Amino acid sequence: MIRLYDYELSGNCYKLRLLMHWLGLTYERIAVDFHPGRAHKCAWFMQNINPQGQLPVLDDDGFLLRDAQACLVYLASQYDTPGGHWYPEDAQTRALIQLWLATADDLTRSISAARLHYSFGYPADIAACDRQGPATLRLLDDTLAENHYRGTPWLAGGTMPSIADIACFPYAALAGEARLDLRRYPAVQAWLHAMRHRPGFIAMPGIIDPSL
Amino acid sequence: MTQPGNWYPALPAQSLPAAGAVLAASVHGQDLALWRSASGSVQAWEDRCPHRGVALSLGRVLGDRLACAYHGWEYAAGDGRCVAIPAMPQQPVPGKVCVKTFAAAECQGMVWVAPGATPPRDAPPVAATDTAPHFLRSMAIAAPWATVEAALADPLGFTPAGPCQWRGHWAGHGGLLLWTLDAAAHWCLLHVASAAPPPQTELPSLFGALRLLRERLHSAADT
Amino acid sequence: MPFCTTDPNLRNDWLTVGAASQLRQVSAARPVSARLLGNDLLLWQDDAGAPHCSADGRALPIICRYDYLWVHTGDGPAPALFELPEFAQPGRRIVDCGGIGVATSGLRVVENFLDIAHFPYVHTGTLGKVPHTEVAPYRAVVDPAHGEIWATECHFFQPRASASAGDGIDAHYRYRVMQPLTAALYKTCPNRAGEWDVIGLFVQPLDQEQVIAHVLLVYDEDVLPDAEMIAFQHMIFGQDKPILESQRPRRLPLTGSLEAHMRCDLTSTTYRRWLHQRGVTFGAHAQPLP
Repeated sequence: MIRLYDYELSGNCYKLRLLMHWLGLTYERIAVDFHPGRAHKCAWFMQNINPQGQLPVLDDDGFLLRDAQACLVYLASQYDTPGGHWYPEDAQTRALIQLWLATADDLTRSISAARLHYSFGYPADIAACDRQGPATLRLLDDTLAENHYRGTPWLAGGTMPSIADIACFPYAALAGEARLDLRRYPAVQAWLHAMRHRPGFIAMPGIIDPSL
Repeated sequence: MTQPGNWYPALPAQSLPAAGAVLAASVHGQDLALWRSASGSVQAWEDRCPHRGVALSLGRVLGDRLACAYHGWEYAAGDGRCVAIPAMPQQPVPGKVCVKTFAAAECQGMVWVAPGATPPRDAPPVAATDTAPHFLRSMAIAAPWATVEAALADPLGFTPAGPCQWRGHWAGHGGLLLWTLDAAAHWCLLHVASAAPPPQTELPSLFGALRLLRERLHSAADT
Repeated sequence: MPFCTTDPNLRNDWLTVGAASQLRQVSAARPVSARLLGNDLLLWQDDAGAPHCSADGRALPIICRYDYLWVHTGDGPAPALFELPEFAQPGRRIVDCGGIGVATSGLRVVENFLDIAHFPYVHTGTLGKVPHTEVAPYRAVVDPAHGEIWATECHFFQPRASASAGDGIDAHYRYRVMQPLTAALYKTCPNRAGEWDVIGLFVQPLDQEQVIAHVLLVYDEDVLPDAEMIAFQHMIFGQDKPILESQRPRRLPLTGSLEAHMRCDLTSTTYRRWLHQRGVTFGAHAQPLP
């Protein structure tokens, strides 16, 4: 049985909820009182679940794994059908995916940090977020525009999305909550639209679900 | 420096896919929701629902209607009239509830928008080429439109080709056409096309050159 | 630094600066900071556990009610704070959902809290579901005794009305506005017929276009852990946030025809008229002169 230590408003937790939904996996969602309780920083959580005091944490029948990107790699490797598109086996695609998983960390450091500051009062270097957030969105916009020209709508190429797209999606979509303006990034907007219109897409609070 | 006139080059038409997407844009300080109705015509609407002021760019395209994300009020393509209020399905919709719409026209692969108070009498300007341009990239430049226009002329050496339009070569790539969009106070959009489709082998170099052009325009703004 | 408004509706009344729990183990030596009306206040508790507040070295009256801290910034006497009798009822479960920052006027946040018609579109699958979009007529009055707004006889089909709700129900609602920036909703309790669950909204104004929206649950619920009840409320609030932050103008128009009003917007029009009659200017959109 898969268990997910989860918080409703966490973009990083949502990445795993989204992939598990698309993989058709059932799992138990363990709500952690991230705010106002800061339960992810309490002694019990840091001793038993994640010494980094962060969410998400995946528990697959006793295999405990932290870090959203590592969890995406694990879930896709373990549960996607052979030849599936979430984490394809060829070396070049895997290397590209690795690049975008690293970019996802840049988004967490900038857009997620700013969002935590504005929503929950977390301390943040807002000037640094205001530099790195737009720089990362610009990188996404450049890549997506060029990829589009080459005939692929997805970050790591191909006709179908991969975990690279899932990793970068939530915080790009939530850029407004970090007070960034997506009007500057038309290629990012088009990619967000394409993700939201994938069959079986599920949203998170703050990202508007196209289906009613 | 070229003057914008009434029409502004908002986006290449291919950036607005066939149906379903609503893009948030800025044209001359006016926030817009750009979308394409099921019948294919481009809509350039004030990005504000007249009910409670919510951004229409958050909304859903339903055929020839755009529905606001807040209460689902539906507005018809063309004149922007409200045609459905789901909270009151039995009552007729008051005639005066209407989104503010702006003239939009597709011309040679570019969507032109006229954000002024009155619709322009003339048609959008035509690109100074015989064939439809081949759009490559629309990228935001973090500098005011006037600064970018000045820099494109000098020192970057592009030649004016019409209102907001330039032609020239850059970093070894010739036959480039540029359109500048005055988006908002501190930034603009630069649309880049080539007269003919570039060979696949040239693409990495070409896109690299465009990133370099952006950097040069940013430096020109800083000096 | 002076407070950023002279609006007596805010200066003469109590305003929240957040949950009382933020003062746990906070002494005068190391106070915490809270932002209110453009000012950074210092908060601490003394050895007896009583809260204290100062702004620019000047002491301000501060009280603890309903597990929340309330500050008075005006010069005159403070009025009585609103009553919330359910808070002290035996068997009630109190869950503080904390505060979430929103970049808009507090008046917009309260108006959204009072609105039902958005449920099928913003809270799809929980508080509402297409095609159950019609808002049946309900009542909204100003109670002359306390000058508060009460909206009653509201009801709406909800697939999942609360964290513990199983099936869809026809949820009944009552809304109450106690102050320009505080409101409460009373909704059908799925566990006990005849009881109301209460959700309190206490908006802390940082300035005219930035707030922290605090939510307090006063429920009749004893099964779910706090974390799940908070998660449900945060889901609802997180869905409202992009809507709220996109509204233009940010400040609420109280009069005029900038925004359209229908009969189904009764709580909204009642609230705007009530604010206008009280002379509220803070967070309100100043209409251009004709």
